[in-house]
Amino acid sequence: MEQLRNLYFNSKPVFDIYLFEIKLHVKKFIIFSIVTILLLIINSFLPYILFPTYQMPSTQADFYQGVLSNYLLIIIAVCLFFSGIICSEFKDKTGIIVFPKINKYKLITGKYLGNLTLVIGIVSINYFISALFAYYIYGDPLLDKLLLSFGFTVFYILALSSVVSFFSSFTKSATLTTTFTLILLLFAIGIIDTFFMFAAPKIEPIYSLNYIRSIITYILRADFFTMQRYVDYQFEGTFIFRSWLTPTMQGALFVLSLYTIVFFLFGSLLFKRRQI
Amino acid sequence: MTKTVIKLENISKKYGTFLALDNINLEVQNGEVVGLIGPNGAGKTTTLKLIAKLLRPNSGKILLRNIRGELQDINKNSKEFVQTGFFIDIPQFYNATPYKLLKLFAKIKHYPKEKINQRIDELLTTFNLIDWKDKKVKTFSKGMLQKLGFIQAVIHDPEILFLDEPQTGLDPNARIDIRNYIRFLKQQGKTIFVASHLLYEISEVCDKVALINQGSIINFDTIDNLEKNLKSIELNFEVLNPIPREMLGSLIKRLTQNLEPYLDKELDPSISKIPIKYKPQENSFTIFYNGEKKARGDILNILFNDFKSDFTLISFSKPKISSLERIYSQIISDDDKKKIKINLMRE
Repeated sequence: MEQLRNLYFNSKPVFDIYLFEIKLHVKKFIIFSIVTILLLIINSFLPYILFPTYQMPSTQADFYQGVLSNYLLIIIAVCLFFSGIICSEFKDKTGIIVFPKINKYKLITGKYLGNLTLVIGIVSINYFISALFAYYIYGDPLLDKLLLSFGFTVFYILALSSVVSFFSSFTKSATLTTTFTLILLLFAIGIIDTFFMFAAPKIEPIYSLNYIRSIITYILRADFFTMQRYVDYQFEGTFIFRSWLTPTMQGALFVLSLYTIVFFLFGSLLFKRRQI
Repeated sequence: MTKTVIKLENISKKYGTFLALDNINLEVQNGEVVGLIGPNGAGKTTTLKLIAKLLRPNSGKILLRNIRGELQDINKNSKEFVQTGFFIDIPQFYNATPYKLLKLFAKIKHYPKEKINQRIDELLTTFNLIDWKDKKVKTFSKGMLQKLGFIQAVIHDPEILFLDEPQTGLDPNARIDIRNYIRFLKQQGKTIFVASHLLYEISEVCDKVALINQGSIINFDTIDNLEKNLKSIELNFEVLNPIPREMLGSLIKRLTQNLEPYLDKELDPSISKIPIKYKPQENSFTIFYNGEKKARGDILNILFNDFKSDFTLISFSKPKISSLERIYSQIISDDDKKKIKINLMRE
C-alpha cells in the first residue's frame, strides 16, 4: 500500500505536467498536422491531378516509399517540440517556480513525454492518412509491414529526441539546439557518410542516423529480408564506391536503442550538473 | 519537535573564483518573519536559490523541517518536507492563462483538488488579477507577472515562504496588497523569509533581520535589538502650526535644556551636528536620544507639559524605517571598514 502511495505521489506531478505540456502545444500540433496532410496530398494526388500523364506508383509499397520518406518533416517536428525542453527552463526561468517543489527530473520527464506524444501523434496522422489514400487508390488490404515501418519511425523519433534533448541540456537557447541538430543531421553525418563511402566502403554506416532511418521505407518492400542491402558502383569494371541502402531490423533496433540510451544518459548527467 | 524550520550550516558558494557566500549560518524559527537585507551582490538571491535547490553549495548543508517536525537535509526525499513556496526572480511563465498555470502549480504541489478553483479565484481577486484570469500571460506587464509569481508561491498554502524582492518594481497599491498578505500569513503562523532592498517593507513585516554583506551574515536579530547597537536613535514629533523663524532659536535652546538628560551625548557628527533639528517643510522636529525605552515616555511628558504654550503636539513617533536604514548603513559600513582593514593587514 505504501509503495502504491509512493508511486502515485511520484508519478502524479509527471502526469499533470504531461497533460499541461500537451495542452500548451496543442496549437503547434494542429498546425503541424495540417502541414503534414497538405504535404501528403502534394506528394500523392496533386501530380496525378495536375499532370494527366503522371503514373501513380504501381504498388502500395512504392506509394508508401514516396509519401513516408519525408524525413525532414520528422526532424523539424522533433526540433520544434524538443529543442527548448531543457534550455528554455533555465533561460526563461519557467521551471524555477516548480523546481523547488517538484523534482526537476519529474518536470523534464513530464515535458518529454508530452512532446513525444505530440510528435508521435503527428507521425500517426501521416501514417493514417497515407493508409487511407493507399486504400482508396489501390483497394488492396493494408500492408502489415506498415505497422513495422511505423514502429521504426517511433524508434527514430525516440533516438532523435534523445539527441535533441542532449543538445538542449547544455545550450543556452532552443535556436542553438535546433542549429546544432540540423548541422549534425544535414551536414556532419552527411560528410562522414560520404567519407566512409569512398574510404571504407565495406563498413556499414550503422553509426549514421541518416542511414538507419532508411529502414522506415525499405522495410515496406516485399523483398526486404532477401534483398542485397547495398549497391556497388563501378566504372569500366573498377569498383568506385558502395552505397548502403538499409540496415537490418536487428541492426536498426540496436543502434536506435543505443542512441536513445546513450544521449539520454549524457543529457541527464549534464542536466543534473546544470544550475540556474 | 524542533522549533527551527530552516537551518543553514556553514554554507559556502563560489562562482568560479568569486566567493558569493562565505560560511553562512542561519536559523529561522517557526512562525518568524525574517528579512534578509544587504547591498547588491551581497548574496541574498544566492542564499534563496540554494534553499530552493536551484544552486548547489560548495560546502555546508541546508536543513528543512519535515512533517514529523525534525530537521532534514534538503537533498533527501522531498515528500517528507513541510510545504514550501518560493518566489525567486520574476518568472517567465509558460504562455498559458493564469488559471491554467495556477491550476498546474496547485496540482503538482498537492493542493486538494476540490479547493483549487476557489483558491485561484480568491488569490486572483486579492491581487486584482481576476479580470485577467483567462488571458495569456504573454500580454502581462512585468508587475502583473510579479504578482502572479507571488500567487504561485502561496497557491498551495505553504508553511514556509521564501520571497526574493517580492515588491521591487511594483506600483504602490500592489506593494500594499503584498505587504498585507504577508501580514495575513504571519497572523496564520506561517514562516516567511524575505530578501529585499526595500527597507520600509522589511521594517513593516519582519520580526527579525539578517544583514548580509560580501557573502557573510554580519548580524541577525530583532530590529529592536539591532537598534541598541546604533550610535544614535531618533524620535520625530510633529506640531500643528509652523514655528516662526524668530522663535526657533530660543525654542530649540529650551528644548535642549529640558531634554538634556535624554539626549545622545555622543552624537555622531556625520548623522547630525545638533541633537534637536527642525524640519520647516514638515512642521516637525527630530530628536536624537539615548535610545532607552523609558526616555521616550519622559520626553513625551516634557514636550506635552513644558511646551504647551509653544506648540500643539500632533504626532510623536520613533520611525522604524529610519532606524533600519541607519542600522543597515552603520553595520554595513563598519563591516566594510573591518574587511578592508583585514585585507590590508594580510597584504
